[in-house]
Amino acid sequence: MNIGLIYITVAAILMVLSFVKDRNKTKKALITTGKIALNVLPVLFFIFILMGVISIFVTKEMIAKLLGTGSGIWGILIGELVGALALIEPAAVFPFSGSLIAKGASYGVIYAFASTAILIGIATFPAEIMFMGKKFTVVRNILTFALVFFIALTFRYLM
Amino acid sequence: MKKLIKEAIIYILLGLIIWGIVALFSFGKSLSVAKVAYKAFAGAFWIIISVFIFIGLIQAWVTPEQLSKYLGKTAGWKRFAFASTVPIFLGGSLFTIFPLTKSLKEKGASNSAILTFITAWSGKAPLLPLEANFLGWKFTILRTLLIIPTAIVMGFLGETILDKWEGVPVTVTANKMAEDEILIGEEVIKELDGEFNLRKIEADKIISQALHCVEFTIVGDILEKNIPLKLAELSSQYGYNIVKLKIDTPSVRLSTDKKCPSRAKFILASKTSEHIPTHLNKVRDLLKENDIVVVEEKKLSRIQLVRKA
Repeated sequence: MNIGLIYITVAAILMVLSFVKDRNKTKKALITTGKIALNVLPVLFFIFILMGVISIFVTKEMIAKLLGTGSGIWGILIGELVGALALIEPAAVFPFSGSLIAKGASYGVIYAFASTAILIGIATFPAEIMFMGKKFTVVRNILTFALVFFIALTFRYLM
Repeated sequence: MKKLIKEAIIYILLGLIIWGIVALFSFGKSLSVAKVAYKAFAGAFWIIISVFIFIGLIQAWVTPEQLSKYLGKTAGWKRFAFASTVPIFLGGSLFTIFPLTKSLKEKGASNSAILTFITAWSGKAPLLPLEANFLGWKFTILRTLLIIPTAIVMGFLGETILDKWEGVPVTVTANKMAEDEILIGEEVIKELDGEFNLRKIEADKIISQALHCVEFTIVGDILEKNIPLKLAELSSQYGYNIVKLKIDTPSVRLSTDKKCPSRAKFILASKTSEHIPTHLNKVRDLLKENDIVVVEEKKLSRIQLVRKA
């Protein structure tokens, strides 16, 4: 059985429960869901095409050399930098990462990429500075980069 | 909404352009690209839809306000247990998280709690089905579990660095004020030192010899209004001592010239018991005259005093 059907069943049950308990909140939830769908689906469209391009044109050797287990700290640094620079929805991070894994990228590198893609964003710097201040932004982003780096280094031994 | 649609069109166009470029070179390959893309999408379709529903439900039922209220109420290790786990279940992007952490900070959350909160938020539990589908459960669970220690380490390290950089709340202790390198209130300290020779006064000794000790916690423009000096003057007139004066002033805000009330704690120590009501009244009057709010006033017992000393 398709695991997606289990999820959608759970989601539907939760939706019904929510509707029974509070109609207004459920309405709000549905609006949010719609907005997120509108926000994320086009990004996923783009990401899935990118995945297709990667799977057809990028060879396993290339990815394995650049981001594989043998790539060491450079692979992790590349993963982190790409994650930090990419303007990418968190929801799109995982499908993209999956296609890189299929091409031989190491889990440590993917951990680095996914973590910085979610936690560090060049695009969010102005917002973070505005809300939290310059020093906070600098410390948080640099420290996140460093922490992710060290965990990514050891991630291979955990998997 | 307009922005959403605009972005949606841009992404779809970008995707089509990439695909079009591939098609220009080789139609066969462009078909394979489309096949891979369709397969990935069809395989994850229901997961994607259910993830959207999960996020919608969570955002409707768990509001940031509820969370910040709760984070404000809890204290100590519970606060960190909360800040390092609960945000994992939140949705939203970095853009939505900063307004929330700003309001947390304004409500008095420490930098460490906020850093822990943001880092833990990257757990992204609503996306777990999607993550597991593309990266496997082992990776997913491991990444999610690693979030908790990472968030806590982030909080402690980040706060240590930020405190060094931004400046910690300054603590001025009366019996060793002159030794500390403190920029704010420096003049006050000099005056105090010159007139009353506070450096030589040993707070612990005074407390141990005192018959009555009352601890005050006050809030107001303590340094701006020269309260330490005024208190010291008063005490020398009436024969009691002000000891263990500690002033907490956020130096960050002082540097921006914003008026900010500071908080202070001091102990009024009296050698005799008969004059103590007069002393207390004088101190209260002085504070009242200067618009200083007395948050707490308590008589210290022997045991408490020993502990304080």
